[in-house]
Amino acid sequence: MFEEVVLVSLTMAGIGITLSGGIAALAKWTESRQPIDSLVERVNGLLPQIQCAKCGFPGCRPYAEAVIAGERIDLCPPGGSDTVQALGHLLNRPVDVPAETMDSDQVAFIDENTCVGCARCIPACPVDAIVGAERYTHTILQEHCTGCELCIPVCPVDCIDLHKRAVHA
Amino acid sequence: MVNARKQLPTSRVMLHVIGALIPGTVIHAWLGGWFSLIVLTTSLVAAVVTELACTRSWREITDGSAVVTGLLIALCLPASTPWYVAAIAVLIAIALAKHAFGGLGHNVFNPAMAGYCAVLLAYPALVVEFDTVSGATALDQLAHRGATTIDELHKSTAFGHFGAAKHEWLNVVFLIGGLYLIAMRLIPWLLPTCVLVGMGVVSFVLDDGGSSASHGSPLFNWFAGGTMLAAFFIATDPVTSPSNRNGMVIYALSLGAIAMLIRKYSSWPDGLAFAVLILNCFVPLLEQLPRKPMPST
Amino acid sequence: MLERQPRNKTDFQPLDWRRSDRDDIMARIAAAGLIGMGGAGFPVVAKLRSGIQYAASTIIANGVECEPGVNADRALLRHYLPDVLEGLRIAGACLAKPALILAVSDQSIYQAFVDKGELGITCRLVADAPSNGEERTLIGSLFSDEIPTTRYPSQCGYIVFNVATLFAICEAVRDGSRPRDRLVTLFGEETWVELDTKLGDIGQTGATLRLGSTATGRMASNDDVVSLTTNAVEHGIDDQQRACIHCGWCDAVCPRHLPVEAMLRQIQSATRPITLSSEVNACFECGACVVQCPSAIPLLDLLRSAKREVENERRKQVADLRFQQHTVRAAETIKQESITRSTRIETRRQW
Repeated sequence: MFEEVVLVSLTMAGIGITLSGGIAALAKWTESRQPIDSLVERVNGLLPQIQCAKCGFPGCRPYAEAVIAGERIDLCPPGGSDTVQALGHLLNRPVDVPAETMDSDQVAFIDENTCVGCARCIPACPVDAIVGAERYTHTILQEHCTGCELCIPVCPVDCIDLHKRAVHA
Repeated sequence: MVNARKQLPTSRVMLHVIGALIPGTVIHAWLGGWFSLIVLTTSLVAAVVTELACTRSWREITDGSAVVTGLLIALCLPASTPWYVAAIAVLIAIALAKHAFGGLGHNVFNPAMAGYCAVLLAYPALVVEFDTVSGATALDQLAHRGATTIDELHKSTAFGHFGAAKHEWLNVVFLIGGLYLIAMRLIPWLLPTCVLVGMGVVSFVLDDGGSSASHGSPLFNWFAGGTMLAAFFIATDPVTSPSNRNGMVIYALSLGAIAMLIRKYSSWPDGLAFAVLILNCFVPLLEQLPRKPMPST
Repeated sequence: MLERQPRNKTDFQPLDWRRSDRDDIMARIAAAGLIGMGGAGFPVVAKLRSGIQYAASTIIANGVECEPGVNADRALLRHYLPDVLEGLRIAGACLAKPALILAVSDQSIYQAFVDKGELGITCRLVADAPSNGEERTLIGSLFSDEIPTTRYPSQCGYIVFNVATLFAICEAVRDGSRPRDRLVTLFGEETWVELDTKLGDIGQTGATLRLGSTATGRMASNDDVVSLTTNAVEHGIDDQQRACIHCGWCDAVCPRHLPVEAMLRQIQSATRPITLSSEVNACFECGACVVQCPSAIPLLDLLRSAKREVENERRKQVADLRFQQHTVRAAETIKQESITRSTRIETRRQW
């Protein structure tokens, strides 16, 4: 009777291990067959969407496409080490912590007393958050500003500053 | 306020559940004799040891869930079960059905029922309900009968009035324990009610007034086998049952109905354990059902 | 009981508000820098101005204190009721003869008020249940009136002030003193605490300090200070946390009928983004679920961090969309410019 019990236990365990191994293999196979588009979306979702172009690409989405094409994953300073780790985990690539990180919770602010209305910052803004026209004072929509700093170097009178984003309770 | 319950930690909830099970355990031990005490002791010891081995911490034992699992398995297994089979059932329940899935709260299947069904399927010859008082239970009689009718069963002195072989007393005691849990607002009243309704409706439809093919009235089925134990203590396991109202109704009605269908059409005497495991598979789906909408403010 | 540091000097000249101009009273309240002491910290003057602008007809003194374990407002009503009522009358003097209502959740305070009676002020008893003290819920239960989430109650005819705020108004106007301390439930005991006191200086420090009640408070450190909006300082129950057993009790008590358990499941799983985002944002942090949870899960902390995450995710999506639109438009502008230039060159050649 006792041998029977042992035999049955071993059989059940064998079936269980075989089946779970099969499921694991199937899961790995489906993972490897991800379409490229959805992979770009997923990488893009992990990027901070600041559009600062510090990675050398015009924005987050172009960088995401480049990453899928084989670009390094540690080029995003605002994302910092968290983003690199998340990307490395998603794409199964080795992770080194990036040298440069920056505070990403900032917004740009135009000092309206200094602004001369040159309109040079308007096309520089990657998310069209600056309102204004030539010869009129500009202002930045705080809601849409990502704090990418791209407007700062193009301003001839240096009237743009970065502020901590106001938190609405 | 819909719910006037004081703050209760999990460990206290489990204590209440164990308390509600104690009268039933006493009756069970009295019916099963000394053998059932061996099964009970083995199950409880195995439960605590397995839980400790899996969590490696004393703190987890204090939530009481392992003890409840062990106790439920002991109440499901017949007294004639060898002690090592009881231990295997508990091992499978706690190590495989609970901790392999990530521990308390993450298990898909009711641990006690998973362990019980595993040994029921693996060692059917050793886990046969063999009552020391009457020889076999009424449900066994019905599953393996020649031409016994319900009427003959009722007339037989070994069986009770509406249940089977004093099982009706066991069921009455579990019913009282379950009502205590409902009164304490620890389990929702809707769930066990729907289990009983589901079982009652199917048995009422199948009941043809006592021919040899009949499987008894709703009353007979409510108080036979492990109905009350399953309806109040097993189906209501919060981890493996839906928490929204709609899901709960579907879950419980189907559970009762499927259990009754298994009783009637399979060669197994009771189908509650299988019904619980089948419905456990659908719980993640049932959790997705729409719930009460948010007020507009 | 309730020992309070005596004041040596006043900050302003005491004002006889019954003979004063509305603008003088408002100027005094503004000078004292009063903000709502119920928790949100909305400036008192702004609320009064909005009430004047929208001709509010009712001022409610909110003494409905339903946060579990917090009794600061109750203690204030027990010991300083005349001052609170005077504060209510002062606020009433800023508006055109509004109805003055004191809403309480404590039976004994209600009875004490009714026994004594107060001319021109009505007292209403509200059920002592989590979230009943939230101002929209309170207006709903007192007047069956629903304030849309897009508007302030003061724009709909109701001004709701916490009783502690009214007490501070009374002291600022009648006695001419800035708020320097407030009544706080300090580890279960109501105490006057000087503002800007560091939690580390109060004693009973530990890793689980919370600014607010055990259920709804925010995690705090020894360096955080007691402010005007602090109604309690307590210890959290982080050390008793266990795994969720999906009992659904949190869903059952949620006054907004939010799927708390489903939200918790999403927050704790590794799958992102959180799809129940509107539900997460609809939570108004009453803490009823935290009190019920048998596994002592810090639901409110998790929901608060999920709110931040949802907001961040939304911001990211908007930025991504706007960047794509910007790219398309920038390309079009460049194309347009080159067309203009080439036509210009062609026209010149024809010359």
